[in-house]
Amino acid sequence: MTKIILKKKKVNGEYMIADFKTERPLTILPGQFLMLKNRTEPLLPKPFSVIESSKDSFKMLIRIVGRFTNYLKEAKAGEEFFCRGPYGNPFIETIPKEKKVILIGGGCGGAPVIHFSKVYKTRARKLILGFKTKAINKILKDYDIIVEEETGETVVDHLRKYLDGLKPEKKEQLTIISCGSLQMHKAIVEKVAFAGEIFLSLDERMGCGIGMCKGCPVKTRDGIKMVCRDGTLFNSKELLLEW
Amino acid sequence: MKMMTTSFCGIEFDNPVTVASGPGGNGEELSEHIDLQRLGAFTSKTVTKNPLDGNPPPRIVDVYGGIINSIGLQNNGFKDYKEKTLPFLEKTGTPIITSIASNYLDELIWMINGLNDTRISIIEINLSCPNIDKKREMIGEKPENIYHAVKKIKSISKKPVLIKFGPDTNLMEMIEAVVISKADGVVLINCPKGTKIDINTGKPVLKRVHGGLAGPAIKPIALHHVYTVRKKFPELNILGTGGILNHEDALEYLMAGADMVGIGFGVMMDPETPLNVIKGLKKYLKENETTVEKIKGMAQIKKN
Repeated sequence: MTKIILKKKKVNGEYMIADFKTERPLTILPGQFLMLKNRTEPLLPKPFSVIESSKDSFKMLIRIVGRFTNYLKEAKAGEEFFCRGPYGNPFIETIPKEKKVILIGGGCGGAPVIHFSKVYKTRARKLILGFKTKAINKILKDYDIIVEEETGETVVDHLRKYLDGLKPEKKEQLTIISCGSLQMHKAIVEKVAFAGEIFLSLDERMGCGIGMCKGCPVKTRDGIKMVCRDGTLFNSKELLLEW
Repeated sequence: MKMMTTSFCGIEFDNPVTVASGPGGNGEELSEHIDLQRLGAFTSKTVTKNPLDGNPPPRIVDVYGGIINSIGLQNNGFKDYKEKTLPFLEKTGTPIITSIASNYLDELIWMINGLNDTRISIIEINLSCPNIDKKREMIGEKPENIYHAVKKIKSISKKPVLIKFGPDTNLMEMIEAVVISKADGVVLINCPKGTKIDINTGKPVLKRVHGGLAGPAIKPIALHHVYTVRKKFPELNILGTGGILNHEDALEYLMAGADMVGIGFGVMMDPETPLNVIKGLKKYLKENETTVEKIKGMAQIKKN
């Protein structure tokens, strides 16, 4: 495991951004995740994707929901944590090479798509980010964010409008990366008229993070696959989203 | 006798640390993180006669002291195991313990016949499997049925046979049955059942409600069984598993009477755990000028 130090954090409501300094250089590509843990409980590291990374530091956008994220919320700058990884396939290796990308992030699923838009500026055609509550506005200041509790609009509504405004020949040159809840993925696949390929980044409770424990399954047309090792990004045509 | 070697089922292993069946998969992913040859043995993920898809997610639930897992023995079936997994594991050079499961004797015999001509060291048998056919008679938990099943298994197996048990109420009777039927040893313990309720929905977190509790939470229970079984059966081979995260945990198992220790949850937490345990054990033995064989069972209190 690599030792990492919490440099600073910003918390507002259910969201936080945490900056970590790493003990040794890590190369984290958009779409990859790190398994994080503290010194004690919970024992099993938890997967998080990054929103920004450099050679010896990275930032994470985190929703405070469970034991570990609540611990992180209370942690002081300078506290030691541990990480394994990066694991998972970089998004860039899963999507078609020639196409521009519409990036969709639902909640903290926004982290890897923001990361992607920063690293591959010329590939990112459009970034659509949606969050449930306005608490996010104090955390992510530099982005246009759709806040559902304010507008009643979801990222899926926004995506539909955006696609409606595009000429068919433009649409053909595009692909979609969606990162968020299963409900959001299903809405995109079922309710958005888009003939091109849609790639979904899945979120599942993980065990080992490297594919061996079989803890994070997804049903595909090619049998059971592991989100951590075979994904996290899958072509929506491959996936059976019901179990 | 070398410092770290352990005699187990009539075989001398370089060290007493194996990866327990399950969390380490079939070794391919793990071998990208550690050198499997440095392990005393590698226990492959439990295989069944036919492929199993496993349980629906979530399969892993966090609890204090570990996790509850509900993997459902996902595996590609015995044919795939023999054709793909075994050649890979044999190439690593590490001794192999093959874990098989079925509720039915004929399936176990079919798999054991398929293992007899391989280079594996030991067969671990899990007598309970989630795949249940109501029309057929299961081996189940009755000591008498277990006795007959193991007797038959021993008559055809060319490999030493371990029977894996959870902490069931009639554990001692079942172990007596496998001792009389001449099984070579036992694996103690398989995950006890655990349950977690989501208080926001008022429903169980796992779709199958109950899963296997793994991690340090079960270590004292497992140690109790290892100690008790060792006391009653001084000659029985015991592989102790449950919540081993470091060499101190492994030492407790050996001192309680285990001949070998299996690391399951620990390898899921950190793939390097088994090698760290081996390193720590070596350091301890050196500093205390002792050997694995000398410390095995040393915690047993003998009545004069």
